[in-house]
Amino acid sequence: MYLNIKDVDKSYSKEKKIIHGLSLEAEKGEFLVIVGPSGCGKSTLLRMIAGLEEIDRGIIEIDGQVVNSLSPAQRDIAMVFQNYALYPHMSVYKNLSYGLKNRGFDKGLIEQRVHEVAKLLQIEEFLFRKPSALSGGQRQRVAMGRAIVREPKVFLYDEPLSNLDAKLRHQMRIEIRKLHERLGITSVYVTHDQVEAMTLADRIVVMNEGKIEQIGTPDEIYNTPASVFVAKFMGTPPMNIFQVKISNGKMDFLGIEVETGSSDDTLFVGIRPEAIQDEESDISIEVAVTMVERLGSENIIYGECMGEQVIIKSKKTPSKNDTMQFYIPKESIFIFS
Amino acid sequence: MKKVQFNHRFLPYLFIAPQIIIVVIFFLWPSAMAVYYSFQMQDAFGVSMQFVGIDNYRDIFANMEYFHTCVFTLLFSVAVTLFSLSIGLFLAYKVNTILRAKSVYRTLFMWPYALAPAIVGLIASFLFNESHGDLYAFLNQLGWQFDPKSDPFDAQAMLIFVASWKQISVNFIFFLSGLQGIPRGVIEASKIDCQSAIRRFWTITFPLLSPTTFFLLITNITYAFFETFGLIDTTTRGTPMGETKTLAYKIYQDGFLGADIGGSSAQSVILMLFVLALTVFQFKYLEKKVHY
Repeated sequence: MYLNIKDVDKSYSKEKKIIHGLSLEAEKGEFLVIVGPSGCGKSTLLRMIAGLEEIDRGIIEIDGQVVNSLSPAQRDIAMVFQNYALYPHMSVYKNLSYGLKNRGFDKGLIEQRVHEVAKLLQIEEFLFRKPSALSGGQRQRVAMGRAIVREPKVFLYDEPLSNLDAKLRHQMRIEIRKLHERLGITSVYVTHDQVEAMTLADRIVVMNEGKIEQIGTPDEIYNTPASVFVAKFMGTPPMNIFQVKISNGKMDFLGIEVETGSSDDTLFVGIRPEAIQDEESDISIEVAVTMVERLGSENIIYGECMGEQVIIKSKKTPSKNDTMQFYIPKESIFIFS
Repeated sequence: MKKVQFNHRFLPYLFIAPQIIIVVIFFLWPSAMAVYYSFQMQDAFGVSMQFVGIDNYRDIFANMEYFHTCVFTLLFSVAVTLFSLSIGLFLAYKVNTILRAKSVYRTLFMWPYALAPAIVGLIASFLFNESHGDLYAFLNQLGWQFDPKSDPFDAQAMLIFVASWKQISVNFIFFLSGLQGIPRGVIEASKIDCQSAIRRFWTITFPLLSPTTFFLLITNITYAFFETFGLIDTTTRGTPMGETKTLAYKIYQDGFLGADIGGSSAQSVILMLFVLALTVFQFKYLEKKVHY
C-alpha cells in the first residue's frame, strides 16, 4: 500500500487517548476522505501523517518508507490548511516557490513550475500580490497551488473549504475533484461535512472517538452502514433510528415480524427519511405531522409515529397537525445490533 | 459609524485640558526654556544672564570632549540595543517553543522589568564592587584584570552589560507576545516547506515579527540614550576619565554640577534635534521594510 498506517496510538494526557490503535491504508492515487464529528481525532490523524504531531505507538509508511522519525519537510507531503496559512509577508509567487527554493530546486525550474500551477489554478494575474490583497476563494487557490507545485507523494487537506461560503465551497469542491483526477496524487482529506465526503471520496473513512467506524466507498457507506453511528452521521436529514425489543429471535416492529437470528434483547432499526414513501408498499405507517421544512424541490416532514419521532423526505406538502399515511419497503430497513 | 456631536463649545477643550497641561508643563515649556537658555550665558551663581548668540553652540563643537561623548553614546546605544534585542528575541523564541513549565520561564524572565534603572545600578555597584562583588571576583578569576574604577573599557563593558540585562526582560515580553501572534498554521506550513529551523526562523518568523522589532528598536535606542541616566549615576558617574558619559549624563554634569546652564542647554537642544532626526529616519526608511 502507498500510504500505510499501522496500529497507531496518540494521547495528549494519560487519561484521554485521542487515537486508539488505528490502522488505515490508501492505494496510490486514491482520494481518501476522513469524516467524523468534531473531536473525533480526524485532524490529529492527518497531522500525524504530516509529522506535525508525534505518535505514541505504531508505524506510518509512505511509499514503502517508514516516516515515523522524519520531519514534516522530509516526508514529501503537502498540506492545505483550514485557514489557508499563507505566508502573509510574501507575494503569491514567493508563497508558491518557497518550498521548492528550500529544497534547492533550480531557479528556472521553479519559475516554470510556479507558472504552470498558477495557470492551472487561474491565479496568474495575482502572482505578485500579497495574500492580504486576495479574496477568500483566491487565497484558497493559492493554498492549493502551494501544495500542488511541490508535486508531493501525498496531499493532506485539513477542512480546506470550511472558511468559504456555500456557493464557493461547492465550486471549489468540484475543482478539487477535477484536479485530483488530473494529477492523480494520493490524497487524504479531512472534513466534518458529509456532502464533501460523499462527493469527493474514492473511499470514506468514518471516525468516531479516535476509532474507525467504517471504511468504504460512498455507496457502501450510504447503503450498508456498519453501525448506528455511521447511519446517523451520513445522510441529511439523518436516518430514523428506533430501538426495538426482541423476543424468541424475532422482533415486532410496526406490526411486522422480522426474523433476526439475534439473541440480544434489543436491536436498532434504521430507516432513511428518503425511504419512507407515498406509494403503497410493505409497511404502512400513520404520521402526525409536527413541522414541515420546505426546500423547494422537496419537503422535510417532522412527525410522530407510534410514540417515536420520524423524519420523512417527501414531495407532499402537508400542514401542521395533519395525519398522513406513508409506506416503507421492507428492503430499505436497516437492522443494527 | 455615528458621530456624537456636542453642542458645548468649551466642553471638548475641558476634556483634553489635563493632557494638554501635562504636555505644556513637562515637555513644551522645558524645551522652550532649553532653547532660550542655549542662547544665554549665566554667571556661576546664576544671578545675571547675557545674550551670547550661538557662542554656546560654537563652544560645544570646538570641544573634542563633546565628540568623544557622542562616539561613546552611539557605541553604547548600538551595543545595548543589539544585545538586549537579540538576547530578548532568543529567549522569547526558546520559551515559545518549549512545552513544559512555559509560564515559569515566562514569569522569571519578566521579573527584571519591575526594577527601576537606578535600582539596577545599585545592584550592579554591589556585584562589581572590588572588595566584595561576586561578578568582580569572578571576572578576575577568569584571568581578566577587571577593574571598572580605573580601566575605561572595563567600565564601559560593565555599563553595557548591566543596561542590556535590564532591557532584556522588556524585549522578551514584547517578542513573546509577537511570536504568539504569528498564526500556528503559518508556522506549521513552513515546517512542511522548509527543513532547517534556522532558515525557517529568518524567512518566516523574523519577518513576521518585524512590527514588534521596529517598535522595540525605537524604544531601546531611546532607553539607551535617556533612561540609562539613573544607571550611570548610581554606578560610574562618568568615571574613569569621563569615558562612560552619555550625552544625557554630560548635560546633567555640565549643567547641574558644572553650573554651565547655557552650555548644557545648547547640548540638550542638539540632542533633541538628533533624536528627532533619528526617529524621522526610522519611520521613513525602516518602516517600509516592516510587514504589518
